[in-house]
Amino acid sequence: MFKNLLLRDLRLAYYSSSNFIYIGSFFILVTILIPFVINTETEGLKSVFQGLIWVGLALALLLALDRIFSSDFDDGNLDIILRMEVSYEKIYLSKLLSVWITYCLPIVIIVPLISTAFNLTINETIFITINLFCGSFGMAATAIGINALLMGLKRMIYLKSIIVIPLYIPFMIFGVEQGSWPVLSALSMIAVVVASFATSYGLRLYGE
Amino acid sequence: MDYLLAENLSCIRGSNTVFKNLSFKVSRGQILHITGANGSGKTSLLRMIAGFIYPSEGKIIPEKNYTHKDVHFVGKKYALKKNLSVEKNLSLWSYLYQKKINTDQILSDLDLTQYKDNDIEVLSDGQKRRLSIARLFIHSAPIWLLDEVHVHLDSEWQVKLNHYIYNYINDGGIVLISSNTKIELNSNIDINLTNYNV
Repeated sequence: MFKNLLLRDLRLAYYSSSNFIYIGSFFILVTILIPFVINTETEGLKSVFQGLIWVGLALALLLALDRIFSSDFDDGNLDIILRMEVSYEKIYLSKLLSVWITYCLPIVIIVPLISTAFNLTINETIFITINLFCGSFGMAATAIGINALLMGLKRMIYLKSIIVIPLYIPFMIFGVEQGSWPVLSALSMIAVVVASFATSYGLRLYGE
Repeated sequence: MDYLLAENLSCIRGSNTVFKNLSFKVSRGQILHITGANGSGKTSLLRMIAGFIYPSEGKIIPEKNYTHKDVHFVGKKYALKKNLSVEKNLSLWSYLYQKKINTDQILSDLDLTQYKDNDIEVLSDGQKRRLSIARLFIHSAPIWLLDEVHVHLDSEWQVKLNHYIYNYINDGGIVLISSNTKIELNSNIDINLTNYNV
């Protein structure tokens, strides 16, 4: 059942505009946009890029805020999902995996490919990719938890963003530090656990 | 499941008591028709039986958390993704219901074959309603909870839907159906929720 739910979410992402190519293109465009407006030397560009990766990831997840749970809530598919023989925790876990695969995995794959354009060494690229991998789970979980609690608020993406962005700050602070993957992993673990309670609570409240 | 019993059900939403002291028993092969004014709690009652809302007072027997193997809840929302085609929507349902869906058969039964590749948003409300009813036939459940499913259907399809309902109860199903307009359905039990409003 868990597998069906995950496959269904991935299929839905593939059908709609949140597939790999769109997210990847969106991220690349965000990263190449800033060098146009900031006049930076090679070294400056490198540090801007390292920060920009996290802003790009946050933007990709913020754009997804109105899709996670909310669209199923609006069109009535959530009624079917909640009557499946699957616990709230498994619904959350499948959502976490599908959101991560849809919105974070393309970025984790693209970053090493484009980092040479920003003069990152191989070592720096490896570190930043590991950071991204470890931190992105927590950021995806945060987006899911907040959205499960606020899914009844239609088209309130700005309000949701205002709540989610401050929660992303710790990920961003440690994300740009090389070798901070243990801290990011710890942050992600905390976020994944807290978000599982928030999501279960949100889904339980859904009928009310 | 041989019967569905509700004992002294009350529904309180916020500070507002929607209905109070509602009791009924529906057995296999019976239709319970719920009527009532707007806001009298028809949808709340069906959602309560489906397990989405906990009864504020009273209980529903059999007492358990329903899954879609037990109840089919078809509400006012169509459960369709409006920017996807009819065929893709059916394929998404097949994951949720864990069933292979014979798309061509279902669309021909619903008289929607020519819309197979069309996006849902180009369908009329009546056609979307027909498609949402298709969920009832994807797999069998002992109870159907139908919330104003006649809305938007033309008279021909209202008759067809009633026919499906009669067939289902003849096979031993239980149907709870709500409507706020007159529908030509021979029900066994009628409840006017307005009488239970506070």
